[in-house]
Amino acid sequence: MAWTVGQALEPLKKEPITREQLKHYASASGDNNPIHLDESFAKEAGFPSVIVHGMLSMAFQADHLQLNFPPDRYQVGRLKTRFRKVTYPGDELNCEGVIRKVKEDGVFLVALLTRNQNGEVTSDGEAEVRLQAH
Amino acid sequence: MSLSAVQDEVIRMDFGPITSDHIREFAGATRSTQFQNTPLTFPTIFRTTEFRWLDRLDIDMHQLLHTEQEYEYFAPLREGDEPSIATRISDYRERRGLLFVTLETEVHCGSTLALRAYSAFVVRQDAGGAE
Repeated sequence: MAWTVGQALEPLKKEPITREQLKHYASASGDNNPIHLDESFAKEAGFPSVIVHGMLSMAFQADHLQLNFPPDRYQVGRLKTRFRKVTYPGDELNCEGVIRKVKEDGVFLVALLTRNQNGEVTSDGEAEVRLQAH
Repeated sequence: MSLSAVQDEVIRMDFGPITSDHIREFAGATRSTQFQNTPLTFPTIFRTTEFRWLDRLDIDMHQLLHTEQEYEYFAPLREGDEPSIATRISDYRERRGLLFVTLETEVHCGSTLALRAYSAFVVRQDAGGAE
């Protein structure tokens, strides 16, 4: 598929995030910060409940990117995410993106955005993607 | 503490071979379906050196927020690789009651630089909670 500037990526809607998923992610990633796992710790830190690992939402964004740029054909050179709003268990994240620029060397600059079920932007980011050299 | 006090320090770790279990667990937890070799954010499993840095800086985990993450990819990470992780501090600034810390990590497999990661954090230094 030929990508053009301004073209939107196919969005990706994720299932609601569960506390079980946070435990699974903590164990798989080694990020056992109690702010993601322990309600009383999260409350002491000023949050209404445990919060979702930012890196879990970045993983969704990465999967969304590769859904649009399949890894057998495209190579990701750079991926950056800014975490803008805290995400909680029960939130449903929607990943979006748009082609921002096609550089002369064949690199696509992609703008990425994740919103929660209320339409609030929870993270944004950018990626550089190019066709695999064969 | 000033940046000059810690800017030459590097915290290192060797990660034993990446196994199919590591990859399957990580892909399962993140519901990743689209990847070759390892998911793009798989290197987050090497963040032990970052946690050691945060400990070294005496940062209270209650006050810590991860604000930004960036990866630059140079070579694929594969099952069987035995990465060497090296993390240094690339930014450390205090402004208006907030501490801004950026950690820079290089992941090598043998002599090949596989990726570089930048993790930015904000630490709220006031006594109260967030928001």
